[in-house]
Parts: sequence; structure tokens; C-alpha cells
Amino acid sequence: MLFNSYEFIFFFLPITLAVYFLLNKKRLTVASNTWLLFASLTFYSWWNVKYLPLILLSILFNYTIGCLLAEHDSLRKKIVSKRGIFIFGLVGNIIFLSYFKYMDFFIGNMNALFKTDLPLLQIVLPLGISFFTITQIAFLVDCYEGLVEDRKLLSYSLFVTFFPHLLAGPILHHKEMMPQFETVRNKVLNYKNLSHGLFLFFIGLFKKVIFADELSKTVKIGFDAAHSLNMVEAWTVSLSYTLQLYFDFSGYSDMAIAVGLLFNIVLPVNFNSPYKATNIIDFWKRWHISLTSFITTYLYSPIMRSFRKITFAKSMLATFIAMFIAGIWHGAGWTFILWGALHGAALVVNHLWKRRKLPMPRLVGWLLTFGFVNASFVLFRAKNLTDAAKVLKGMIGLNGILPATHPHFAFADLGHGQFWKLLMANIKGNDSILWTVIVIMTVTLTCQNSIQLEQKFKPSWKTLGFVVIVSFYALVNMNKVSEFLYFQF
Amino acid sequence: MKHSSFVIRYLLLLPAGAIIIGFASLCLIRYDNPSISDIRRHGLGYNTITYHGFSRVNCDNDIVMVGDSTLLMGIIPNIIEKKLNATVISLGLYATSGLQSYTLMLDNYLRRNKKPKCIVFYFSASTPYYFNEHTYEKSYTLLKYGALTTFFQSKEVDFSDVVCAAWTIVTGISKNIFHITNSRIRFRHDISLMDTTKGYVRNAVPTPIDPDCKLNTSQKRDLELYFIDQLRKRYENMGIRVLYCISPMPESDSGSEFFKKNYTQVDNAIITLPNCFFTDSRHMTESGAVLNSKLFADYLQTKFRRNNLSR
Amino acid sequence: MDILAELTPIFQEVFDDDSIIVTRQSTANDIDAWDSLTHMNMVMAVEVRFKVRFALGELPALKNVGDLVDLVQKKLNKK
Repeated sequence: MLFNSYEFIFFFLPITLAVYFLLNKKRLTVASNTWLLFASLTFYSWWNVKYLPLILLSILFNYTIGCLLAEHDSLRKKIVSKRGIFIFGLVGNIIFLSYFKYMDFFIGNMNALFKTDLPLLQIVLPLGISFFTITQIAFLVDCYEGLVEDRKLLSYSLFVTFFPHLLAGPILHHKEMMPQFETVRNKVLNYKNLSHGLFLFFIGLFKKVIFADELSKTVKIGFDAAHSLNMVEAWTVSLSYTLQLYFDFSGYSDMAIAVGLLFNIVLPVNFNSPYKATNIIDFWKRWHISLTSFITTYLYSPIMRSFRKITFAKSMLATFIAMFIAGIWHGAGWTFILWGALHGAALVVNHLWKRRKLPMPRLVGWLLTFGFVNASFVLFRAKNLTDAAKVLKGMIGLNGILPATHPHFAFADLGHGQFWKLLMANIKGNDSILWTVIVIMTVTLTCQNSIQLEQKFKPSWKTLGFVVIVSFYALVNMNKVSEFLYFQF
Repeated sequence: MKHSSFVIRYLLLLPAGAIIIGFASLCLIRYDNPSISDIRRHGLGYNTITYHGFSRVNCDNDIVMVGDSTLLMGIIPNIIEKKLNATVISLGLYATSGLQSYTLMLDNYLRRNKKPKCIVFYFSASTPYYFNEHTYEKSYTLLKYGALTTFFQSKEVDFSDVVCAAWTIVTGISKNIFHITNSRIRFRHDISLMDTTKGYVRNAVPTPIDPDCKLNTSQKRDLELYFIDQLRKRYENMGIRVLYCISPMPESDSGSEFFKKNYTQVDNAIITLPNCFFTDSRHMTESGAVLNSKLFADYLQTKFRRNNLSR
Repeated sequence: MDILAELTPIFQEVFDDDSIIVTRQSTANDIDAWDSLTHMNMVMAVEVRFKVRFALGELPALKNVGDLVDLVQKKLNKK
């Protein structure tokens, strides 16, 4: 089930909320938590019930390993070492994730390398597997280090499957979450949280449905369908994707946080105006914050600890390795690996620059950072390296700045529909595509982000009017078909 | 305002507002004047061509052709009329109008005009794959010209379609608001043009595609062939002969093989023509339409005995 | 022992600034050179000095120096 669907907003969410708080009112807290667990599993199975056993298997496996690790110290007879159990659990999770995510990528590369013709398994990736696997890996590490106190199966299952964060994060830490499910104060319906949650939810929905889906049309044509792109088209397409990805993902995160808030659960903030960052280190503190936190705590720190003596060079190596792994985690493909490596390299360069205390004016820093991020996201979206090259070449201008059929640019042409249609013929564009990108870009750079708005939120007639208009417009447009279809005829 | 009253007022305002806006939108669409809300897609306003299709009265045509934009831009009825010595009219709606819009338009025509001897359905190969999509064109046509209860029951149109269609009309009107005399004059000119050409609309795109551009319009979805049966049976039951035909594709569309394999129930052969007659993967230039009409007239001749139009 | 007082020379050395004075409220925002690299250096230096070991999962929860002091105290009490 998706947040941006009628069945979620008008059926699933109200019913889940109502029953949860009703059960709590009757002091049946175990029942209410079980209800939440049941609702979360329903939410997950809505897409395809065949994958429910997989997530249950993963939860039971990790729960068992976690308990074994936590109780290991108090065992009299130790058959297997604690470290052994931990490695077993870790490897189990990695194999589980790799099978579903990377098998076909592995087979494809074997075929290319050894000229074999093994058939691809066409394994469908279960929803959210990347997220719930690393959430549980973090849990295993914490069990190994003796940090976990609450080990009830119900709380653990609820922590992993809680439906706001189940599919696409924010990545949660059990220490932040489990106490919140226990606190008595959270069991009472809280109107303040309800109003903040509604406010944030519809802003997130608006971001996803209006901004992201509007931009997705251009992106689909530009990346997948067009044969070549001239400079204007290439920049339009890459900027559209950079903005689409941000609004899609941050909109979804907003909705996740908002839904959590409705249940009085506070989820960590995932985005903080990343495109306002003036250097790449700052960018990663503002983009997918929960992931950066996970990478730092569970990848970077252990790598650093494994070195006997820490030097600057070693920390740069650790940074690069951590980002490289992060790239692989995002997807199975050489484009993702390259993307991770590039960001690792960029972070290293930034650290070097800072260390040498070289100057960097803010505007230049912003240009470099945004330009780099924009170009790297081309790799993120392209289906393969050829498509990525097509867009990147266009951006540098190798496919021409203007199309051949209109070699002479005259200012008199500006504003005339035919000019824009010819200029952006490869992506079937017209001037409205450019305006969309410019307007959305301006909004991104000048306005406050959704979390800042939510923190400043105070109920009044003005905000009520704002929420009604935003939610109405977003709800109505939720099933609008993308224009791309029209051009098939 | 307290948080609790914010939440409660919000939950009450939203459905109340939705009902009011929905009702107002419906009225707007129902009483829309196409000469003002000119929504241009391919050079000719969508509302204009829809109006043409739905406003024929007391016509007497031997052949009625019903189809999408490939019919509008690819068939010149006057050429077919000369070759067959029969009367032909072309009723087209952009393919995004959905299956029900075509049957609605045809039923409406049959009620108000003399029954033709033959109905020819003329669609592009990819159109049927999108018959069930929700679009502005579908919502607009069904809401404006259809019996509302039927369509809400069949779930072809829902609340968001109503509001989106109304919103598109509002933005269309505001675009024309400073050119409102222009819009009316353009509408009258366009409609009288369509009357003379019996439904043919010249393609607004001037340049044909490259001779060596590579296309592949094959579809990944499954095709529901039952609708072709539906269309046939519906009108054969009224005693009218039905032909279902597919419009040509450019030579360099490698999807043509895909469609030739999948369309087992069409009456004509799926043909490809040189790229110079197409402005994109489906729509033809004026010279393309001339050639295509001649070829199609020859095809129709093989289906009927000359001047007789019976089997 | 006064953990806060013992942290001061560690901070001064790791962040290469003899003028640093740490209070319970000090955060990474207050000290220029405090980033992810020097943070690791500082954590490991604290571990060596107090002969404690931090778990990976304990590090992100440290919001300011006060949290660090409390955590060190807790670990020393356990020993």
C-alpha cells in the first residue's frame, strides 16, 4: 500500500488510528500494540501477500539471533562464541538481501565476463527489503554490544514493521523507538500531534503528487525514450530528475513522520533542505539523514576502529569505502556503484580542502555542490551507463546546444510556442516544462522546508485554509495520468 | 484556535467543500461552451473536435468512420467519397478519450442521423492499450455528453476526474480570456472547416520524421481483444456492417511486427508507409493523408462491390 | 574524578586548539575542527584515557559533552 492512495488515506489510516486509540482507552495496551503489528503487516501484504512470509522469516531469524547474543554472557556452557553467532546473523542478513537484490546483477556480470548464457532468475524485489534488513543489522550489532534491554517479540516486531517507516524509512534505531511504544503518555489521543501530523502529511502528499509526479513526465521521456538530447534538453531533464527525486523522497519521508506523529510516535527527520548545502559534507548531513547516521555509526566507525592508528589518510579511505558500500545498497547496477564511488571521492576532496583551510566563497561552493549532486543523480536514474552517458554528454553540449533544424537563434523567437517545441523536440517539450523546472527550483531554494513549516505551525483559520487547499488539490490529483501517455497516439 | 477544533473543523470542512466543488465542477463541464474553453492539443482544440463529433444531425452518410487522431489526420473523406461514389463522414476523438467515449458518440450519431450502411472503426495500433486510462479527454467527453448516472455507476469517471476536468476548462478559459473574440472566431472557423472536410483535420506539425530515425512502439502490456468484439457486436446487432481497421505505421517502427502478430481480429492488413509521410510514430502529413486515403479507398472497394456497399 | 576536567586536555589535543574550554553544553557546533574524523579520534582518545569501550550504538546518541560525561561515568561505575 502506498501513502498516496485513496485506500490508505480514507480507509486504512482512519480505521487503524481509531481502533488503536480505542483499545488504549480501555487500557488494553498489549492488544493495541498487536493491532498495530497486524495493521502494519496488512499494509505490507497489500502489495503482494506472497512476500509476507519473507519479512516474518527475517524478523524471527534476527529476533532469535538477537536473543542468543544478549543471553550469551550469562550462559554457563558456550558452544559457539558470541562473535560466531553475530557473524552468522550478519552474513545471514547479507545473503538474504543479496539473493533478492543482487542475484540477477551478479548473473548478468558473470555472463558478460565469462561469455556464459545463464538465464536471469527475474527475482522480484520484496518491498522495503533494503530498509528492514539494515534496520535489523543495526539491531544485531546493538545486541552484540549489549545495548538492548527490551527484548519482547511483540515490541521488536512492531519496531521493524511499524508501517510509517516500513517501506522507505526513515531508518530507525531501536533505542529511539521501543521506549516510545511503551510510554503511557503516548497511548492517549493527542490533538496537538493530530493537527501537526495532518498538516505535515498533506504537505508531503502535495510535494509527491504535485511536484514530483509533474516532473516525472519529463524525466521518463528524457531518460528512457529520447534518443539524444541537446544541451537545453539535457539540463532540463537532469534538473527535473534532481528535483523529482528530492520531492518524491522527502515528501514520502514527511508523510511517514506525519503518520507516526498521529500515533504519538516521533520519527527522526530525514531531510533538511539538502539543495541549500554549500559543500558536499553538509549535503550529506541534510540528505537522507537517517541513512548518513547509519553509515557513520555502523560502517565508518567500525572501519576506523579496525585501524590501529588513525591517520587522516585512513579516515579518507574509510569514508570512501563507506560511501562505496552505500552506493551498492541503493541498487544493483554499475551506475549505483559509480554513484557511490563518486560521492566518496567528493567527500574526500571536501575534507582535504577543509584540512588545507583553503578558501571557498559560499556561492561557488553552492554551485559546485549542487552541480555535482545534479550530475551524479543522472547516474542514479539512468537504467544503464549508455543512458547516463546520453544525458551527461548532452549536458556538456556534445550533442549540440541547439537542434540542427533551428540553427539561428533570434530573440524574436522567445516566447513563441513553436521555438520551444523545436528546441525540445527530443523530449516532446514546450516552454511549460522549463517554467515548471524554474518555478520548482525557486521554491526549493527560497522557501522553508516542510519540517520547518511544521515546527512553526499554529492552528488558525489561515492555516486551516492552507491545509484544506493543499490537501484538496493533492487528493484530487492523486490519480491523474501522466501526460506521457498522450504522446503514444 | 485550539488544536482539537482545528482537527475537527478540518475533518468537517473537507467533505463539505468536496461536495460543493464537485457539484460546481459538474455544472461547469455540463454547460461548457467549447467556443470559449478551447483546449488545444494538436493544433485543433479538443473541445472543438468533440463538438463536431457530437453535433451532427440529419446527416445521410453511407459510411461512418469512427476513430482516433490517426483517423482525423490520416483519412480525407472527400477522396474516399470520389473513389467509391458514396458519402463518408469521419468522427474522431483523440485516443485518450477512452472506449466509452467512442460508443457514446456513435450511439448519439445513430440516434439523430440516418443509419449508415457501414461503420468503420479506424484506430492506431497502440490506442486500444490505453482504453481504460483515466484522462482529461475521457472525463470531459463522458461528463459533458453522457448520461451521468451511467458513468458514475460504471466507474469510468470518479470525483477527481470531475474536478480535474473542470480545472482544465477553467485554465483553458483563462488562457483565452484576453482573446475571447479570437477564440469564438477561431471556433466558428474550425467547425465550418470540419464541416467541409467531413471531419478531416490537417496535422499542425509541419516537419516529417527523419528517414533513418529508429522507432519501437511495441507495448509491454497485454491487449484486451474483447473490446473489438464488443464494438462489432453492438453495431452488427443494429444491422450495420462493421469493419475494424488499424492505421498505418512508419517503415522504421520495429513495433509493426509486434502488432501484426498480436492483432488477429482486424479486418485490414497492418501496413507501413515511408517515414516522409509521418510527423511522429503515428500521425501523417497532408501528403500522407492523401496517399493513405487513396489506399484505404482501394481497400474498401475490395470489401464492397462498387456502388453497392453490400456484402 | 572530575571527568569534565580530564576531557579538556584531550579535546585540546585532538582538535589542535589550546584555547578550548569544554562545558557540559558544548557541542560539535561550538568547535570548528570537530567533524566526523576528529570525532572518531576524540572518542578513541577518551576510550584510551579512561580505559572504557564505547559500543557503536552508543555514539549517535551523544548530543553534547554532557552526554559523553554521563556515558563515561556509567561505564566506570559498571567496572
